[in-house]
Amino acid sequence: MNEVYDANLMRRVLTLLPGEYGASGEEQVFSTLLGSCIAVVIFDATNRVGGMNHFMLPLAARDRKFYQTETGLYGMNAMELVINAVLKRGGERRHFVAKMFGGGSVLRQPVVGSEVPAQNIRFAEEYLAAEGIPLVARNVGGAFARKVYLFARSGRVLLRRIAADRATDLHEREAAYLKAARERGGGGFTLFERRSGE
Amino acid sequence: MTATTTKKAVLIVDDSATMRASLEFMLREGGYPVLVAESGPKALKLLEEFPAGGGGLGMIITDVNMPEMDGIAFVREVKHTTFRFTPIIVLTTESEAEKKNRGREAGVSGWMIKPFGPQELLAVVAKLSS
Repeated sequence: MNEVYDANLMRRVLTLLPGEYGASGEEQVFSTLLGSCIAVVIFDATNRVGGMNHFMLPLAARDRKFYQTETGLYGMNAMELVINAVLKRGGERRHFVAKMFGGGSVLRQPVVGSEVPAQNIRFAEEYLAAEGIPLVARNVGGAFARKVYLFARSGRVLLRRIAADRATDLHEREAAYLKAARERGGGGFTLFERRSGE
Repeated sequence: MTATTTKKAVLIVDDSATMRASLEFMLREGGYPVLVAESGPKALKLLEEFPAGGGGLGMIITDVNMPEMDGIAFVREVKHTTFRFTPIIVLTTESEAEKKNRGREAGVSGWMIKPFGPQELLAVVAKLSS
């Protein structure tokens, strides 16, 4: 996460790169640039805490349910990270609403298959439905990139469409992220030593 | 030969419906009977009703971040039941040092950091399930 001065908003914002997430209960603005990737905003209007992630499923889930695939586990983790970050800042799950952005068809073939953006969108929809988090706004698909700003305390989102050919380093960045996600193994496991007397 | 009938049940405690579904799927694929609960209090109730004192339950897997009763508080409660010797694994999305220490004190057997795949999960369950 980088703090940068945003000339459009004329203020400092925290930018989220692919794989990153952020949440705040302060007057904080998060921004991210999306091509094929998805950003999901989780917002609690009662406690005024909002967060956003930025991710892409590394592989196609095909006809299985997302939670039955490793690629789905990757997406679930991206969702859990932002949800836990919102919870940590005082949000409550029962107040959560979600907004979803991205999933544009902007990556050159054959780095990602044409099904990838659609699969990302479907994953986010299915995940939110399964978790019972209402999806109150969405701007997904199409053949363009998106710049998304989240105002954490109000949950307000500003979105700017960007022609795919003007998002200069987006292809490389998303392709590199996808490659890393595909190569990445799972998390780790720590076993505590057995204590005597147990 | 299938060993399904000889494997002991695993209790999953997680407030996330998708995480419960995912863990249950992986464990059932591995041949384990599965019990699920969406909160610590509901899991404790399941344990109370569990037949034969605890012989059929091989291990407990619990999320750490849950409303009402967090994973560590749940572990503490389990230690006051007949399941106090049942191995307990705690799930987390990042290494939370402070919670790890509290978990160790509470008698947690180990931690798994998400995301993990079915092979890792089944290896851990095979190793720890009593």
